[in-house]
Amino acid sequence: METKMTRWIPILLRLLVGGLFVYTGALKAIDPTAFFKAIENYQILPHTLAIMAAFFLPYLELFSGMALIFKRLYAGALALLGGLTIIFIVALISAWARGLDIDCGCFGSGDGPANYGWALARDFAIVAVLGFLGWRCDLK
Amino acid sequence: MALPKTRTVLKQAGILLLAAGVAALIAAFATGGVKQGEAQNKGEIALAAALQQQPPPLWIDARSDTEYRNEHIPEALLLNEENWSELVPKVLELWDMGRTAIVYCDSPGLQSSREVAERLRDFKLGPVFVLQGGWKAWKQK
Repeated sequence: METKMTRWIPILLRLLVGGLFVYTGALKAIDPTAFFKAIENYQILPHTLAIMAAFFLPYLELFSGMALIFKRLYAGALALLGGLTIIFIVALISAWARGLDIDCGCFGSGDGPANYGWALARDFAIVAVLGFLGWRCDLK
Repeated sequence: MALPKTRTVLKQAGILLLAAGVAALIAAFATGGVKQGEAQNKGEIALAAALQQQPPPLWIDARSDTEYRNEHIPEALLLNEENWSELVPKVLELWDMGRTAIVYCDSPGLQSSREVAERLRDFKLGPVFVLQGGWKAWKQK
């Protein structure tokens, strides 16, 4: 049975996750060079692709986050942000496995050396919330 | 359960990807892309950060043989482009998997370090960085 509380939970989660992606996307979009360096530190993407990603990913986060908040293009935003977060998780695990002592880059730059455990826990939580929202909502 | 149809998801995702692509192009055009000088900083590490590395990094001296013989960072290994094939076996022998390697030189724009670092990355044994400021930074510490 749906109560007032259960009705509000998805709305709060949607605003919270959407707001988080708008915030991180804006931070990265403001300083693409810093984000580019953060990507380079992972030593995964070739130089040219790293530059492209440094410009593209911030706006993808920003627009998809806004889509969550305003519930427009909602299904696409959930899928994109879910996929993006899974890619971040793979990159973090890869860097952790190689013993890289690098800036996570999750909030652009200047986060300090990555606390891999915390960053992974946060990303897994985000994927879980996105999955829950995708399962829960009547998408138009 | 009311999951949207795949087509709807793809269509909406496509619109968002397109919007992000257009915004990224505008941003790249407006800012002139990542500036060349800054792009060249890729894979660099400051001396202070290098000295804090645990376990200690494997120092690679990319200068000439003579310069290396005169003076070098303690325990640094010589590896330059001129004598690559002779010098690289010893580096590979002493480079433990996962250990950070830091290359330094004293050439303009750290060109020698960059070239050596680029080749070392191909071995995929561990992170490879170029020391910011090179040999001069070490001497001035």
